[in-house]
Amino acid sequence: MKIVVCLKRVLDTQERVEIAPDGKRLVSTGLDYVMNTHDECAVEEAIRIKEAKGGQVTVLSLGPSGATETIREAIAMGADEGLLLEAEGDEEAWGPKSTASALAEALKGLEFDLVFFGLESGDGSHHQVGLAVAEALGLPAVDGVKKIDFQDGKIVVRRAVELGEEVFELEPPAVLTLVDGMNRPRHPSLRGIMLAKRKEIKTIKVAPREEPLRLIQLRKPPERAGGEILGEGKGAIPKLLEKLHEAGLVR
Amino acid sequence: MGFRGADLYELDSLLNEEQRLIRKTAREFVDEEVLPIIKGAFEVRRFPTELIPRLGELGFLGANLEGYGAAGVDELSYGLVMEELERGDSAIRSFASVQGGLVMWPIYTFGSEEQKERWLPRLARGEAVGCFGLTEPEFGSNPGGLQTRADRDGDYYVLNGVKTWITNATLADVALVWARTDEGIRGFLVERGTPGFTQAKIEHKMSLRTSDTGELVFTDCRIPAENMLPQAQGLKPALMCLNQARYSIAWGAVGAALACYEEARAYALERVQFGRPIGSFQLIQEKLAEMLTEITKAQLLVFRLAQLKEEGRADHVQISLAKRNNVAMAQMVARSAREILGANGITLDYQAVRHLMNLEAVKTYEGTHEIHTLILGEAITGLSAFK
Ligand SMILES: Cc1cc2nc3c(=O)[nH]c(=O)nc-3n(C[C@H](O)[C@H](O)[C@H](O)COP(=O)(O)OP(=O)(O)OC[C@H]3O[C@@H](n4cnc5c(N)ncnc54)[C@H](O)[C@@H]3O)c2cc1C
Ligand SMILES: Cc1cc2nc3c(=O)[nH]c(=O)nc-3n(C[C@H](O)[C@H](O)[C@H](O)COP(=O)(O)OP(=O)(O)OC[C@H]3O[C@@H](n4cnc5c(N)ncnc54)[C@H](O)[C@@H]3O)c2cc1C
Repeated sequence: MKIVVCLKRVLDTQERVEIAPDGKRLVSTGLDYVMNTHDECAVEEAIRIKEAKGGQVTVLSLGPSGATETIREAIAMGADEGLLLEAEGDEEAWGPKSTASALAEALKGLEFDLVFFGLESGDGSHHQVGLAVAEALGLPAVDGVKKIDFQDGKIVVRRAVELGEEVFELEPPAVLTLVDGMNRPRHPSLRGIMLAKRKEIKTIKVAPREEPLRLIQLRKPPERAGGEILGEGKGAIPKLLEKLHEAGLVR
Repeated sequence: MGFRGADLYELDSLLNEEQRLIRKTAREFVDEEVLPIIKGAFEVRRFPTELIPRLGELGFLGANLEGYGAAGVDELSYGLVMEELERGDSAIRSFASVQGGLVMWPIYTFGSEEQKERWLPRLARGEAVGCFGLTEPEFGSNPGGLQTRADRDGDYYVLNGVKTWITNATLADVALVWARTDEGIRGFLVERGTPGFTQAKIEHKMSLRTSDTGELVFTDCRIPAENMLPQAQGLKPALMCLNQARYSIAWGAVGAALACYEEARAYALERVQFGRPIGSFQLIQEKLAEMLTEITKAQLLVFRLAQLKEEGRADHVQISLAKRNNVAMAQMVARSAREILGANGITLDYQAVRHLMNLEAVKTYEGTHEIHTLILGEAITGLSAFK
């Protein structure tokens, strides 16, 4: 099974993230970028499939030159090779549409049975790229996959819906977007990290196509009012009940 | 939320890509696999053997060696791993220091090709455990006087004697034992189960309770002559091993201190007395200021020491200074943290008292604080006060 995992380097949300003065970007006070959490699970899932069934895992990322660090992390976890689409031009020009068309273009040059995406990115949260790539390549796509099985040459995937789950059978090639929590991503071992360090990561410079989506402004959510401490332990229960009654939450 | 330690002088910005990733692996391992179990293990004096294969898989054991299944990371990365492990508990770092610095390193440096092939890959993967037997009941700070004998008998050596205070003593599949022969002190690999070799636990410890500490007893224990490390002659190789372990302690102590400092800082901001967070009181602020100052100095020390070691230039005086300073620093920080935590600070629900207790042993092993003072004194004056 040949799997390409598309992943994104995002700002570490553990850092203090601020909105830049132009109101259009996030800036961090720290230095840390991390692999998008949904993507981390996608990498883990791909590696597990490779370990069980053989094959190859390629990671593909669009981002600044520094994103090679994130690609290397995926290789350290067990992916075989990486390709960076080094994004030229303005950050603003790279919306979901232009990102998807650059990834789709690159995927046309790669061999694969499955393409994995994370459900959405931790920074942009558009939840569009995976599906837009599937559309561009004319491939079937299942969105929000939480489990993948292989039965009689078929790929069986499950996604959670409100009242249960949907089960799909697919034949490759197909695109899946995977959700965080479907597995517990492994930590790259020191051996893996040293191996990944020596791997060459192919880089192709890409320019943005037209991007119909324009970000106008980022705004912080309104400050939430501070909570109220009603007491401690059992003693707090009567007051708590009273408040819940008042709010109409219990009757 | 993952751990974030104080880094006032932005040393993190000097780490390269792989060093950051290596630290991340070690940090998450400690957060997810060590911290949740360590309190219970400490309380009942159990070494969490379930972590041994994990330490191996993740490549922490003998990580700074090349080949034979070792990860081959640089000295700074190795230090960062040790820092994280000791942020978890000194016992976990001790396990790794002994396995990597006192067993794998000497086999790698002084061993025959057969010894390397036989032991290093298994030790690196955590499939075998090693221990290092130098200290004896009558010879602690003065190992040069050791009395364990190894007498040649044809193709064998016959070992007689006792080693005590040995880390990993009962877990060990192989013991590196230093013994006196007719040609001086030599190192021998003794395997678990060899007739005449017994391994026993030291009970009732109040420090490094999680670590496996014990005795190795040799009674007419016959071991094949090829189990002797061919390249190690005299006491010096044994002392060279100690430099490896002391280096890892100097880093580890920073981890223990950071664990205590971060916990105390958070507590001081939350705990209200006299209507205000205790962090607003001058006496608490002074404690926190001292803690951060000493941690920062210790961080700078080991960072530079790592560079020297990477260049092969770290000498024993530089290593002694770092071990001595950083362990004493960590003890001060743990004690202050314990105090800031008030009554809570004496329980294992918080980390400070566990680290404080552990650091008592760390201050003693691998050269006591006093012996390192004398090593520095000798380096400064050219006059030895202890030989
Ligand atoms: C938990 C633990 C794990 C250990 N693991 C190992 C191990 O894996 N392998 C191993 O070989 N050993 C190990 N040791 C032993 C350790 O290295 C010794 O305890 C240490 O070297 C001190 O020896 P000692 O305990 O006999 O103290 P002593 O040497 O008896 O010292 C007692 C006191 O006298 C002081 N002192 C001694 N000589 C002088 C002097 N000339 N001037 C001033 N003060 C002096 C010392 O500083 C100390 O305060 C371990 C010890 C502990 C506690
Ligand atoms: C084993 C044990 C037995 C005990 N037995 C009893 C008992 O029998 N009866 C009983 O009533 N109590 C008892 N206590 C409680 C003990 O008296 C309190 O722990 C002590 O008063 C400290 O209070 P605290 O733990 O809440 O710490 P806190 O008051 O929260 O203090 C935390 C830290 O802040 C510092 N601090 C607080 N205020 C200031 C300030 N204004 N300026 C500078 N620093 C400040 C403290 O010195 C300490 O370092 C016991 C405690 C222990 C540990």
